Amino acid sequence: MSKGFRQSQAQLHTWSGLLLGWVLFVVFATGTIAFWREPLNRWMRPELARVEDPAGVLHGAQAFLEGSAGDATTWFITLPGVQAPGAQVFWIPRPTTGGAPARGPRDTQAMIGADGTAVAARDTRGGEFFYRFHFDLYYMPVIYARWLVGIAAMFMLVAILSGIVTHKKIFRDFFTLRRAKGQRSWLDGHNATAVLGLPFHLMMTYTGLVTLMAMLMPWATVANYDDEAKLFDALFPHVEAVPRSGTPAPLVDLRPLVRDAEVRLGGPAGFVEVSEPGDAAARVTVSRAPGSMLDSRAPKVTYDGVTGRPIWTSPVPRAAARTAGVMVGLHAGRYGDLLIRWLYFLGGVAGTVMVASGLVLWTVKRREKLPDPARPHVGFRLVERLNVAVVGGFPFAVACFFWANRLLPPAMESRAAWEVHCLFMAWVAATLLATTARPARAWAALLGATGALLALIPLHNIAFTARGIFASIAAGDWMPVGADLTFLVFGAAFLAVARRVARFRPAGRRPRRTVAPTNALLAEPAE
Amino acid sequence: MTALGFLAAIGAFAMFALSTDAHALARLHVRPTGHVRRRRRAAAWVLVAVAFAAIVAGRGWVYGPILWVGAIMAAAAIVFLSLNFLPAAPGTARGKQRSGVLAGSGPASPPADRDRGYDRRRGVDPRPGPADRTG
Repeated sequence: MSKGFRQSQAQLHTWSGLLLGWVLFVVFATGTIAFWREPLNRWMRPELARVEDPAGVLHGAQAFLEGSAGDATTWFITLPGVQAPGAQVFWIPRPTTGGAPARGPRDTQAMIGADGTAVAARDTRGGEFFYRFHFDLYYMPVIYARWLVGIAAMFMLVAILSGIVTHKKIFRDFFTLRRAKGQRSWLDGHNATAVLGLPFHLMMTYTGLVTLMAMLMPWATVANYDDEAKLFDALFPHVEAVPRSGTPAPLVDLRPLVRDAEVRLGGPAGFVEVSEPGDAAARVTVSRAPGSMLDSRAPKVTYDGVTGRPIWTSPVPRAAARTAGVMVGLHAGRYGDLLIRWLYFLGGVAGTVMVASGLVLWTVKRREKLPDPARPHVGFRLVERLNVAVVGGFPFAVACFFWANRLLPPAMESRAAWEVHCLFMAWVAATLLATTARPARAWAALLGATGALLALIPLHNIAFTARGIFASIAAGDWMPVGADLTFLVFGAAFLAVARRVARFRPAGRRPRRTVAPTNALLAEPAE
Repeated sequence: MTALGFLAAIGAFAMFALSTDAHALARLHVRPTGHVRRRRRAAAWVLVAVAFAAIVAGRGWVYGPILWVGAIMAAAAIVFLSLNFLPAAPGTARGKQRSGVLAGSGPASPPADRDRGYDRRRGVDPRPGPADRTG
């Protein structure tokens, strides 16, 4: 009985892990990188100075918006945190009745730099790319992407739970790693990364599903709310909109309002929304910074935009909304200080390695049982090549993305989009290599190239940007230093794995590929 | 307080590891008796509790428990990596025996260690664990 149950769980684990494993790998990898979303936003614009005076930036943002977008219906200002490159502002232009076509989205946003003026930095999506890709993917309608990611997350939950049953010995063998033992080593590595990060993996998968729950399982909302707008009112309370009066009135200075809001909200402010600026009916809504609280749904306070008098405060969320908010907050990890961020990041690395090693394990295990190892069947070859293309190819593509950020000319037309195109072109190239070259060769080439590309970025920064590692140390600016050191460590790890793979000679009579690099894998590969 | 909690968590996992035969042999060159093993495991659990108390005291009830879980994972990873990748002290006679045990080809454990010995589980486990070999 028990054996039958475990066997069935083993099959469930194998197939739920394999089928969407490649999607999971990419989602895990980008999600892990996205924990550094804000630092990457800054790191990918090395020409920007560090923000020292957030209030001055806010004042500059207001001045800029009054000058460039005085007739907009709404302004949005993201207040800069310590790691942000500046205040991101965007606005909704007033719809023109007939005549001129609406302006493109690029014309309605700007970055206010540390000196309080709009900056002319290179056009890049920065860390936002990884954040969006994590659940929206790319080149496809968002709704399909979210369904795909949501289904992959469900498979992941199934794979984790069945994996606990399947590998139940992992808890007893906790500290075991048998190195250079082929399938054993892969299994030990897979287990170690899974068990060490188990609370993290479970939490991430489950809360990740919670972020998509209204889409994946709409029945509860359909049953309780006949009108979707009412649901959103209940979940995201906001002040009643006031129609434009048509009487011009100057907007109050935002700085004292934000200071007052920080006292009322009990924490630093993160976001300012101004509706109908320059009108007598103007409203200013300040939300608390998501980085200062566990609940991802920040409380808000709204002021009259002319008198500066507070007129509305968001109600205390009820239990269900708060639970969902806390789960989303746990998932995104925005509440965390640097220590928590690093723990999240390392947990994500462990999860990425877990998925990767599980995928490779599928082939390692089956290779030994192949009737004719020289000519494996189609399914085996497909999985083997896909592993190279995704597990080897995607980190390579990410490394190329960072290089594109450094090398594409700053004045290039739609440069931000081309950075992303570079990522996908590199990925296509890696896939072509994976389908044509022998897998052992392709593994070594891709891992080695990834390692070299990552390790060389800090050198490029020293030579060609003002944020090289030494200049940043001298300035006491630790964010770029940490980023460059992380690139170096990952580059070295990839090179070490590539070296193991390249030197590996299959032992015994059966030809096997890439058996050994478990220890280097654990040392931390995989973006 | 937080740093203290992390240290306690690392100590806890070191204790857990040293209550297994393989790692006790590798690091201390002594096979722990049942009594010693139980004491080490008890000490480990106490340290887990100390880590919780210290981190909650340092970070409060909202973030403390989260950080404690993170500390447990990080400590386990640190102990895991150092046990498997730091070279053990030069082998004594018993230390050499350990390498055989780890490879699964060492002499069978005395009956007292049956439940924790690597050799029994890995080498001569009578039941073929199907799931255990599954990726």
